[in-house]
Amino acid sequence: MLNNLVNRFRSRYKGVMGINERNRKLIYLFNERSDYILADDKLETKKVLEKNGLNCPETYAAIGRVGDIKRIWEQKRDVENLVIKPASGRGGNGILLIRRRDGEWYQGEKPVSETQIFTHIANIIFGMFSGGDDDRAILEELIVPHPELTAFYSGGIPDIRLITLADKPVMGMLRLPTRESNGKANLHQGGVGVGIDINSGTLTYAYNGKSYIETHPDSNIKIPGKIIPQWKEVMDLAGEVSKAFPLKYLGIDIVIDKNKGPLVLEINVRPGLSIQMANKAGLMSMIHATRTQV
Amino acid sequence: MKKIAYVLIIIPAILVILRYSANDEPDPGVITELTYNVTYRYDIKGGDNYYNIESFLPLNDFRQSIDVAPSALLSSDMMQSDRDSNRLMIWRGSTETDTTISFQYSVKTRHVDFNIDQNLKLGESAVSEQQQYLESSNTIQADHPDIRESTDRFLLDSPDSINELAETLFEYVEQIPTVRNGMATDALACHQARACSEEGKSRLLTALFRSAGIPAREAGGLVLTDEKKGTVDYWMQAYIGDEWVSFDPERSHFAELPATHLELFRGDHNIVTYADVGSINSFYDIKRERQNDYTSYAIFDIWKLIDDDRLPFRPVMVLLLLPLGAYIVAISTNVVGFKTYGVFLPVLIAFSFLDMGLIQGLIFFTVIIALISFMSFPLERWGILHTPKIVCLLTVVSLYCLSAVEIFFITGWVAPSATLTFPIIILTLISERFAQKVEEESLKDALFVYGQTIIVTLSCFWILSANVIQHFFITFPETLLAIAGLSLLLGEWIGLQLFEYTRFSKIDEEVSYVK
Repeated sequence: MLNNLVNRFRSRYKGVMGINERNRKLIYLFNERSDYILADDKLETKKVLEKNGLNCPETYAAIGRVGDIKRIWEQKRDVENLVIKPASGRGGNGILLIRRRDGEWYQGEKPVSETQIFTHIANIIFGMFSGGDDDRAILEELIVPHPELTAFYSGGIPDIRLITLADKPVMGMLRLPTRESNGKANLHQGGVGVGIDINSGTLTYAYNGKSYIETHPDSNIKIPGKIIPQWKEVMDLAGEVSKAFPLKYLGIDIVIDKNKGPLVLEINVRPGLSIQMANKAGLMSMIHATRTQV
Repeated sequence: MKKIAYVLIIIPAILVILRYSANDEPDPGVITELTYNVTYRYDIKGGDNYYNIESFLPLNDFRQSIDVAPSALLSSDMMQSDRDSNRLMIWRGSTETDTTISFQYSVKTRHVDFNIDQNLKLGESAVSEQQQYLESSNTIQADHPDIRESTDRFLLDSPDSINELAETLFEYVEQIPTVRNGMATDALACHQARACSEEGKSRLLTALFRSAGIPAREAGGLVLTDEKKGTVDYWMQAYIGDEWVSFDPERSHFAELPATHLELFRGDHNIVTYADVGSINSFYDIKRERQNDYTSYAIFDIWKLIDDDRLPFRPVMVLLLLPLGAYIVAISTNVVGFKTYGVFLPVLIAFSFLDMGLIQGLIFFTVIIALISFMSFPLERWGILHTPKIVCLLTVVSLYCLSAVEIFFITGWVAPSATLTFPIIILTLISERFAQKVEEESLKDALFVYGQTIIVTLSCFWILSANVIQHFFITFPETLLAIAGLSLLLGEWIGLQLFEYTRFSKIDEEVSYVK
């Protein structure tokens, strides 16, 4: 009786990967410590991507010294909208999206002064978002997400997280921002994670961090069953990215731009495990499934 | 790898067993005899040429033996004398400036149980030669009507048996709350206020015995613990069935005198009296002499190094217990799934709690966290840059620490001998980590991790504060190897963390399209 219970308990969690197993069996085994920099520093990531001709948002400038802020900013006067983010930021922190209207800058509907923008860039350089180490601020193109994906909620940028192992995508999740998440797509900040059948690009289950939902909380549009646009291109891009990097276990974040199609936003050597919740499947069973398909 | 881990665990296990069986010492849990070094120190302030200071040297008897270096007794400015059958030491001399007198001896003490004859009746004891211990005095008002009335009432409850009467009187005094500062110290005031100092309680019990016709006297001495005291402790004795039986209502010892009680004097005396001196500060520094009970096959004997003053006790203990503490943190994070501020910080906080006391430390620590939480709001609104912001926070934390230390010493919440440097450094270190977390994530996240850090800290504290564990590691330092081995095994373990079971419990793989 007790044995039976223990067995049922074990089999239930059999394919689910915990953080200990992920660290030892995937990260330590597939990723060289010295290559982490390629993922942890977004400027390094972009260098590799650009060298291999892989699509990513255009970089306008990188600022590494407080004294350069004003000069570089003046050079980029003609830009209409942009993203300012730390090269070594973690968890989506320190990212500022701004647009220009009538010569004034706005963050969403909130006006932002140039002084505030400069302070933000200085904070990035001083290491506010990189654990105190000196960092660089990246100024890059603000992408316009594909309308089929912003249909769920227009207030942020939805992105696709694909886990690749040895150049093959094994699991995917669409991350949808919500009003609660303040336009961010991170699950622990209130975003919605949606599982993807990676063979077809069909959305499967939507998980809001607490429970499974059928519709987007803000627009009430049904989520499961929808198909992600340009899915084949997304998968191909992920495969190419995985080949371009020596890191063999990766979380690749891809956005679909209205005009440019799939673009690589960033890559992650320590992708989170919540993707298992969104797919209602364990990472280990997905890896086994992909292996047997080949 | 596994083999190395097992070897690391087995070697110390064998050593411990070998040493344990090779030394047939008495069980260290039943300590019958203790050795302590006691140092008296009197700081004389404002002396004008001449001083006269008197204090007591404990008597040698069947339960305590005093060992004074002969040179200390031959000092030119010290004389010995008798007072009330106690050994009195008198220092006389002259000095132009502030000066310090110190005097040291070592003492071995033993626990004593007194047997009171159950059948012994009042009036059967020979009291004639102890007449002086039945009299009333200014501080022991044995014939005051209030005291008499109480004694009469107690006598009604236990009319004949001395043993029963002693129990009744003892229990009455024992339950009177002790107040440390500024409370009356004589028997009558203690009886009337139902709250008084430790000395007042021993005087009251003495007065009650005397008014019941049983000779009784105060006793004073030092309760031996590893610390520096500013005052002495008090208990009392009653003459029952031809012997002086000890009672300590303050520490609940009925008809027994534990090995930790060093008796300095009997009767109603002050430990130190002085004349022609502005003021003096007195200290009694007590150090336990430890011995390694398992010396054979010991690779190195840390007890001996500590006793020889070649290694300081505290840092050695921290070094020995740090790996164990860190291992507890590793279990909490890797197996349970707690998130904490750093690996070593919970252990270090636990150590600082050992210095400050658990409750005091928790309050001290929580106020720091609250301060940083409140300050983070305006600092964030003003858009203050990161590093200056941390400096600003640390300044406030420093000011707070200063006032907290002041409060600790005024109220006596933290023993004056406690070294607070270490705790303060650790706790300010935490404040930076906390402030960073607030900044990078949110106050809610930071507080959540703080809560988990406290839980892990408390488990560390609970284990590290255990005397048994401290002594075990000092006696068997080779156990550290086993911790390294256990860590290797833990580092290889890849099971789901306890918290992950609840986190992933919603995944039901059967509904997934992958079978």
